[in-house]
Amino acid sequence: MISLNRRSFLKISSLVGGGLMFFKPTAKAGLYTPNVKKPKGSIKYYPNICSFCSTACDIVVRTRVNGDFKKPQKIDGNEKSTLNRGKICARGQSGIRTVYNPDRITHPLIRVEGSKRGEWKFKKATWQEAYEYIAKKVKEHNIKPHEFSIFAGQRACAYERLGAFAFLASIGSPNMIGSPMQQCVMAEHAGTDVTVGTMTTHDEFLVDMDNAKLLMTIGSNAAIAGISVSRGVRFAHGKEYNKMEIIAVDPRQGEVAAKADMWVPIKPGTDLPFLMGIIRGVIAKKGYEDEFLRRYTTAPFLLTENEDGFPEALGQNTNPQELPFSQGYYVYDEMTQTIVQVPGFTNDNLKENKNLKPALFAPKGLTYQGKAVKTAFDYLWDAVQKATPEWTAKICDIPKKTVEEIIYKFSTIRPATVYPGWMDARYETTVPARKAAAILNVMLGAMDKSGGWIFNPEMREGIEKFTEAYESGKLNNPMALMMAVANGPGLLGMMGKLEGMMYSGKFPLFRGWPHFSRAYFDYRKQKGEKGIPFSLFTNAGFQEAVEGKLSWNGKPYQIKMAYIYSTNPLKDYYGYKTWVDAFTNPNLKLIVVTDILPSDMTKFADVILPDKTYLEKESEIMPDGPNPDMIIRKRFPSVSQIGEAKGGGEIFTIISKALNGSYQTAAGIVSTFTGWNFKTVAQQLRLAWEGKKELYKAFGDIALEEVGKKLGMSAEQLEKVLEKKGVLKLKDHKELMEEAGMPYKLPVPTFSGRIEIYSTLFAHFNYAYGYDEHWNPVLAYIPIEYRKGANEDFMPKDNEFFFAFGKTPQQTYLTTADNPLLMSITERYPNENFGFWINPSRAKKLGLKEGDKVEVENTVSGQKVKSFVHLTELVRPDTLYVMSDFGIDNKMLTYAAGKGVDLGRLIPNRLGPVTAGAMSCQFTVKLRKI
Amino acid sequence: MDLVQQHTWGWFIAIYLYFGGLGGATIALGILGELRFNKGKWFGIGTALLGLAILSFGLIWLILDLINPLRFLLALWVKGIAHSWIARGMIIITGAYVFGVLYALAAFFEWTTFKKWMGYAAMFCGFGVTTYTGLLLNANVGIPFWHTPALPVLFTVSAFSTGCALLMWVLAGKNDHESEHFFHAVEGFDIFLISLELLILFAYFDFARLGNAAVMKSSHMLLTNPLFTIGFVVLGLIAPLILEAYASMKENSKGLAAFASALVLIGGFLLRYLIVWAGVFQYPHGLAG
Amino acid sequence: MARYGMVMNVKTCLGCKACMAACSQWNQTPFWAEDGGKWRTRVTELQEGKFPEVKREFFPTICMHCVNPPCHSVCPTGATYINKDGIVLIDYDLCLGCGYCIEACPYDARYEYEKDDLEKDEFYFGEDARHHQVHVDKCTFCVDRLAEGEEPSCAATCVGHARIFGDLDDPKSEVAQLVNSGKAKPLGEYMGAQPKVYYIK
Ligand SMILES: Nc1nc2c(c(=O)[nH]1)N[C@H]1C(S)=C(S)[C@@H](COP(=O)(O)OP(=O)(O)OC[C@H]3O[C@@H](n4cnc5c(=O)[nH]c(N)nc54)[C@H](O)[C@@H]3O)O[C@H]1N2
Ligand SMILES: Nc1nc2c(c(=O)[nH]1)N[C@H]1C(S)=C(S)[C@@H](COP(=O)(O)OP(=O)(O)OC[C@H]3O[C@@H](n4cnc5c(=O)[nH]c(N)nc54)[C@H](O)[C@@H]3O)O[C@H]1N2
Ligand code: SF4
Ligand code: SF4
Ligand code: SF4
Ligand code: SF4
Ligand code: SF4
Ligand SMILES: [Mo]
Repeated sequence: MISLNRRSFLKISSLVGGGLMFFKPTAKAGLYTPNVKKPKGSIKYYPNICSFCSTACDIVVRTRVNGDFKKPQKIDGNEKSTLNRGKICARGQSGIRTVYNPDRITHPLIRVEGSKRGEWKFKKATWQEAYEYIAKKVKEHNIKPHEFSIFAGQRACAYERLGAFAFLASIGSPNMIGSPMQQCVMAEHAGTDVTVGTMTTHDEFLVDMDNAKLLMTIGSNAAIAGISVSRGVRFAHGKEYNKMEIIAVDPRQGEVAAKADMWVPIKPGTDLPFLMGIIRGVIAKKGYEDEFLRRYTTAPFLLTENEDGFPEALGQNTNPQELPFSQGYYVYDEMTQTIVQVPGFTNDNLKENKNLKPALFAPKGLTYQGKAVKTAFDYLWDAVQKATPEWTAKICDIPKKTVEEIIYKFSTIRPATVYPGWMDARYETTVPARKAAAILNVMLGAMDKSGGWIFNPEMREGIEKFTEAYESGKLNNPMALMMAVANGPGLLGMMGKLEGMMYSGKFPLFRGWPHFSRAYFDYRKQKGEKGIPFSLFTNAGFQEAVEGKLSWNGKPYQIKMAYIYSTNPLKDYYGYKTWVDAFTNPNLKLIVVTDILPSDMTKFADVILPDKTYLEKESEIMPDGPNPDMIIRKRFPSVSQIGEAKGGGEIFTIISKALNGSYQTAAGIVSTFTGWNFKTVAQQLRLAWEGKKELYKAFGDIALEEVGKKLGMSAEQLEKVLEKKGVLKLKDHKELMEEAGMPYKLPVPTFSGRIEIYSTLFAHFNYAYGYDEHWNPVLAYIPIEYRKGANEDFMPKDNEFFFAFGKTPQQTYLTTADNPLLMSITERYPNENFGFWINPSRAKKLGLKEGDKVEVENTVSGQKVKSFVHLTELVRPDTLYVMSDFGIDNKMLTYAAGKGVDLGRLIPNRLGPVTAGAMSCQFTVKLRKI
Repeated sequence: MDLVQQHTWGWFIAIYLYFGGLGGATIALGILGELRFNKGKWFGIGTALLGLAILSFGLIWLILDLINPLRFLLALWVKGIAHSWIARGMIIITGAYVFGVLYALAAFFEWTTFKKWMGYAAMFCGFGVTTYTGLLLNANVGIPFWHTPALPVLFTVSAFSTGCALLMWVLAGKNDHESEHFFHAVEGFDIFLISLELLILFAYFDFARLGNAAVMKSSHMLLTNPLFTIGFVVLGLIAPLILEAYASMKENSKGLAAFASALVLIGGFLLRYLIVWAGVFQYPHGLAG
Repeated sequence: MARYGMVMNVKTCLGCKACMAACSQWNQTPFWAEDGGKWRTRVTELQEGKFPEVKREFFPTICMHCVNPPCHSVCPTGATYINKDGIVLIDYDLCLGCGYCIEACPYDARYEYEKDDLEKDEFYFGEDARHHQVHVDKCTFCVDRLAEGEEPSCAATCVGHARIFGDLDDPKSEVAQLVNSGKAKPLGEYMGAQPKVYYIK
């Protein structure tokens, strides 16, 4: 086979005939005066945690140390880590290039008087000047706590949650926008969360690909092999050493699909019908884990149709003002052929009666108190009835044989599991589709078992504590219950924070103000629109809050100040123009941005405060992310001070002071969340707020003390061990699964304690927000409309395409796009990274050749972007695909500026149902050659 | 297979290969003229030194292509001699210098026997240099178009052809009988060499036609490059062949032959340059990048 | 004395390019060079077939550390040499930069570390820059890491278990077993260089 590769293609094609032009003049000639002095110092290794994506790998930094001077030389994976097993990805390897990126912001900057936001006119300032400037503006505009909002990005979400909470508590503002919450965590995970009780699935469980024999990935690429190292190592290991069979469902062939035994290139947006088809097939073939479903799930719950026509469990708590805990539910016992009650919160339907045999299918015509009842599983079966292999094949545009083959595999191979991706929010059906994926996985019994989804130790600890309190009866008063729930793990914790703290308007800390989104939902109600029930930390209503359209209890609710910490909304939140409008709105009196680089966001700042990178930072003691092993770890800085940069935690305290924040309220929240001694916390936080100790150094010191006590070590001893090893393993996952299997021994953090095929929370939303198929408590098919007149069986023709995007393995948006090493690797493959992928068969019809310039128009929003095409067989002919990591435009970014496609300018800012997800692919695009 | 055009060696190496070959051939032919055609002491000394000068000029380009001109001496380091053609070439070139200079001295002082021996030794080294330029390329296993025994032969023949052309230039200005006689001998020899070169070239490309992907790619690159087809084959070979053949049949045609010689000299350089340019690696699939 | 070799398992290479990044950071190779950098190790993407029967593969490459290396036999100065562990290395102080080895290597393993690269090396790595003279460069199996008892940088971080490094003479090592069982085979055997890097395809 002759194939011209990248370089030969480049060189030969352009040079045949032009021989004389070919050879470049030699670049060798001349002597170079070498600087051969051996650098001073000795080599030391400092453990740390990679922060270039939400995977949070354990790393070790080889560092040259000379007295106080430290310079990192090389990053490697921590060999002792069972999370990433000593491996890290290209991004992880590149960290030092970011630390010493010549583009870094190293001094506070204040926007020049008279200049406009977006222009990039700044002057250097001292920290004192920056502080005074902020304090002055706060005073001048009388900015009150609820008029302030923080935007916290991926890093804050995954690594600095405690600091962010402490900060917000110190000010007394309920307004937190977490960037990945909306575009990443919330939208995608909600369906999974309500089923298995998680909050951010990628932190809270890990799919055991070492031991699975069958793995189906759906819409999942970067989260595994493209790449999240802790998943990538297991994926490759399982494939090679356990002969795991892999089915990849994805309209384009990414890294995961390339390694799969079966690539199922489904039509974009059809995950829900596809999964319904598989569920139907597996039920029809009786390929599900019968015993598991009867005992540990809500599948046998008896449901009835309520007045509004949606399914409701017998015993469901229907009070929208309360969290949806119930006294008990009902099942049909096949042994006694009667309807019996089971406990309201438990892991096991047989908890109180070992002889029970809850039916998965109720006998025909069963009634309860005169109402016709069926099991949740019956409802599921009804819901998927129409999803025959023929129907599924047609809707998803794949061969019927493929659907049947997959059903057969799922009905026969064990352990089998499903891996939904992390980042979604692509369609309005994302939540039910994710719910379907979770249901399928539950039907396979792949929960907290070898080869399935394994929970992390924090979840076990958290739910153990919660269950104990719940069962002790101490949570009888509503406030105690709310605090315990808010403090609980996973879904419980989220709902507690959402409905109890942030959104209730009743939490004392926030002085009667809820998160602005709450006020926004009222505003929607007036316009006849539903609220967005699952919307913790989203930006729903931010624009309206800035524009002054919102009110709460009759008083205007306006956001006047935004602090943007480590996130780049202009690129990452979609709808570029919406964000420009919001950030240039004069109602927004003050915008402070903390970043390490001159991001697109920094252009719109009034004050820019330079952060330290992860290699420069301190940390508290942290758990090992999703690692099923119980492990603790800590950061140890390995870089000498760079410029004037201060750690994000320190900056929190500075801004808090400017807003008259109090360290005491912060200490209150921190000690409630962590269980640390209030006095110690308050003492340490005082030092932090007084600028005598970095916030994270303070957290670290408290944690060393507190955790040390538990382990029977002094703080110094613990610190030494952690510094030497980086990770300290306390318990193996096998032991934990044995002792505290969820749901075998412990409940899962749902409101029924079981794994929920019927979601008690979604039922609750029906009472609180009105019925909606998107939060059907079991599952409902929702046909999607790609654009006006393009429904589920629409097939684009001519220059129209479906749209899909994903991530390239060596980038994480702007966090890495300006890294010279990673950009260089990216530029080795410029067409696939920067161009729109188009199948050659369609390109031919449109007369397009590789590299031809095109304009792509969103048929729904009218937005347009310009780029070029990359012809490849790796994508469906009806789909246009693009890498989502690029399109950064601040010219101050030497390596990243002006490369690739800016999704923010193609995807509009929309708020989808359930989670305010952006429905980032629910439109078609039209392609024009330019 | 992945095909990649080589781009490490360029102008400098091509110039070196050309002048190396030309210098070597000039030494060999010049000394031959003095020893066998009685061209006289000054002719021998002159051509030997001219050859060496040309060789030196070539060497400068090789040295310029290196990191540090002084490091060039390392090429004489015994380590590489066993296997490296650059190192072997250095020995041969050194030989050409040593024997060439000794020959010139002997010729000057008219030490007849010694001169003879030194002359033959220098001729041998001169010849060696011409062949070595081809062997240098020939050793690269990854470039199949070079890695053929025909290449050193082609380079040797071409080198001698350019050597003849240069001598004809030198001789064209002389009107004595010996010169005349030698001029025609050289002219005849060159006609023979050009014909031979055409034949080898034909065989070379005919063989390439059936060769592997890289060889085909290289020959395709050359055959579609007008610099090769028109520049080298037509103007550098066929035209001088016809002109020289025509001139050989006519009296007082030295001017014409000298013009043909100029074409040969240019053609010779184009050949070196284009062969270097058309080097295409054939890597196992997936390796190139 | 060992006989080091590597097995590349193309079946599990994920195409993540961590190896390229890892190598460039340890060895300070010119990632900055135009047109996508110069590397001691590369991952090439291969594709075959038409949608939906299209096969995509990631193909990792390095210097093959040949037993009979053409790069060695053409090197005039002995700058290219084979160490006691069978690793093919370059002595930068002896290297002429003649490029003969680049032309001779049938595996595209070598490149020139040019003057401009030296300047960039210092720009990015400051006083820790490791390259001080123009030379020809290629994979060294990270001899300096081996001396510290560590695996080569690329293999140490390889996420896909696609790079298995070890001593071919140690029958217990994974490399030796993969090679001896015939599962892993060298590339381009007909060229006679006898690579010590083997591929599972
Ligand atoms: N266009 C587009 N948008 C997306 C996605 C996409 O693929 N494409 N994916 C979505 C997903 S899954 C997620 S998780 C989110 C992520 O969204 P973000 O959290 O916004 O992610 P980044 O762009 O990586 O980082 C934001 C900013 O953090 C800065 N930064 C990096 N390191 C540090 C540091 O150490 N300190 C400080 N202070 N700042 C730092 C970067 O320079 C950058 O400006 O984006 C979502 N939105
Ligand atoms: N390299 C890299 N890795 C990362 C990150 C990163 O920034 N860069 N970030 C990390 C984070 S924060 C996250 S959230 C995860 C995200 O990881 P993933 O959830 O895996 O997200 P993506 O890679 O964006 O998209 C996965 C795949 O979905 C496919 N897809 C698009 N539309 C559809 C559809 O309608 N149906 C189906 N079935 N598939 C579709 C795309 O083609 C793509 O291959 O990655 C983590 N890992
Ligand atoms: S997957 Fe890569 S970027 Fe993400 S944390 Fe791990 S090493 Fe860092
Ligand atoms: S692969 Fe090339 S550079 Fe490496 S030893 Fe073999 S011939 Fe030499
Ligand atoms: S470039 Fe250096 S290593 Fe290569 S052949 Fe020349 S002297 Fe030897
Ligand atoms: S062995 Fe070392 S030098 Fe060779 S490619 Fe791997 S990291 Fe680079
Ligand atoms: S690190 Fe390993 S898996 Fe990743 S591209 Fe390199 S060889 Fe392949
Ligand atoms: Mo994410």
